[in-house]
Amino acid sequence: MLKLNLKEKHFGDEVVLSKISIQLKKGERLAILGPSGVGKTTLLRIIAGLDSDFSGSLSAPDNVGLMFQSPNLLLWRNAHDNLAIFHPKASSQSIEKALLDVGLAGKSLHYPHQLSLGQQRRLALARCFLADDELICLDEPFASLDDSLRLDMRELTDRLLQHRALILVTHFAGDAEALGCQILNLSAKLP
Amino acid sequence: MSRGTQIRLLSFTLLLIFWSSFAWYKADPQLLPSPLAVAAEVQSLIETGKLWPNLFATLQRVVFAFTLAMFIGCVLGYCMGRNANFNAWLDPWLIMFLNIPALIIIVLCLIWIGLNEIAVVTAVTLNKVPLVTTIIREGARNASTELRDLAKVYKLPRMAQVRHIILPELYPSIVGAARAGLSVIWKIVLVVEFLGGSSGRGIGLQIHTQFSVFNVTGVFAYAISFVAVIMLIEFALLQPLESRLNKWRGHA
Repeated sequence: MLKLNLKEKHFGDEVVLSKISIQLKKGERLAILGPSGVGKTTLLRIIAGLDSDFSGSLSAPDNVGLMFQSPNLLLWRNAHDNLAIFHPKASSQSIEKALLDVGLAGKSLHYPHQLSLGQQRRLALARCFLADDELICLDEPFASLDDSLRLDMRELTDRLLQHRALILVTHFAGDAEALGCQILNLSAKLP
Repeated sequence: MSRGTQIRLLSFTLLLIFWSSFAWYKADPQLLPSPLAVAAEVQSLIETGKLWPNLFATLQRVVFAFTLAMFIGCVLGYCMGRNANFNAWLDPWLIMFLNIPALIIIVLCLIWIGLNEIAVVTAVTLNKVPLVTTIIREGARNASTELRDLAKVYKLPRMAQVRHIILPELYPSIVGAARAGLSVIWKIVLVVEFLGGSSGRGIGLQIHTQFSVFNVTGVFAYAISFVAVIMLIEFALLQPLESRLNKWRGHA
C-alpha cells in the first residue's frame, strides 16, 4: 500500500534524509522516531504527498488522513464545519458520528476556542479519520499533552485506526510501543 | 446607551467645548469660526444645493480609488506574502513607492495624464496601493502554512480554500487596510482636487475656492461635511462589517 524508496532529500546543499526505504501494508503501523531536526516531519510530508522534491520513488494511497501537532482548526468555523469543509462529501450523519466517536457529541456547534486543548485535538483526529482513508499520518499528535490526556488520545487513536495503516512521528518511544508500531529510528541514520 | 457610547459622546462634546472656547478666546470669526457659525454655513450650503454635488463628486473618486487600491493591494500583498521570489522582485518597488511623497505622484499624474478623472483616481490609487500591499503581505506571511498543507492533502478545491481558509485568515488585515486606506485616500483625493481642479466639482476644489477668498468658515464647512460622511462610512459600514467577520470570536 505504501512504498517509499528515498535516495536523498536536500534542503539547499544540505542532505537532510538519505537511503530510507519504507514498505507498509494495510493495517500496519510505523513510528518514525528521532530527536528534533533529524527530518521526521520532512519524511512525513514526503509520504503525505506534500513534498515531492526528493530523489527516489513513492507509491502511496491517493487519500491520506493527516494531523499535525497543532490541531490546525478553522477558528472561525464550528466543529461540524471544521469536518464538513475538509470532507465535503461526508453526510451530516457521518460527521455527527465522527464527533460522537471522539467524544464530542453535542459539541458540533462549538467553535474551537470553546473547546479545551484535548477536545481540539480530538476534533483534529475526527477530521483525520472521517474519510476512512487507508493511510493515516500523525505528526507528534500527543506532544505537549499531560499524561492522562496523552493516554486518552493514544487509546482513541488506537480505536479509530482499526484496519488502517499508520505513520506516526513522535519523540516518545512509549507512544510507538503503546500503539504497537514498528520503529524507524532516524537518529540511527545520523552521521 | 452603553458606557462606550456615553464616553464617545462626552469626548465629542468636550471637543466642541474646546473649539468654542478657543474661537471665543480668539474672537476672530475670519480666522477661527465657532462651531455654530460652521453649522450655519453647512446648512446654507445644503439649502443652496452647493454641498451635495461636490460631496458626491469627491465621494465617487474616493470609492473608485479605494476599490482599485484595495483590489490591487490585496492581490499583490497576498502574492508577495506567500511567494518569496515574487516578494524579492517587487519589494524594492514597494519600498520605493512607500517613500515617494504623495505630492510628487499627484503632480506627475496631473502632468502626464492631464487634469481629468483618470489622473485623480490614478494618483490616489498609486499613493494607496503600497500601504495596502504592505499590510496584506504581513497578514499573508502570518497565515498558517499547515492549514494550506491540510487543504492540499484533503484536496480542497481552490475556491473552497480561498473562501474557507485564505480570506478568513486575511480578514483582519483586509479590514485594517480598508480602515487605514479610507482615512488616507479621502485626504489625498482632496489634495488632488485642490491642486488639479479635476472636473470642476469636489470638496477639495471648493476648499481651494474658499481659501482663495479667505473664507475659513467655508473651508471648515466643506471639510467637516466630508469628515461626517467618512465617519458615517466607518460606523455604518466598516465597523458592522468587522463585527460580522469577527462574529465567531463572540461565541465564547
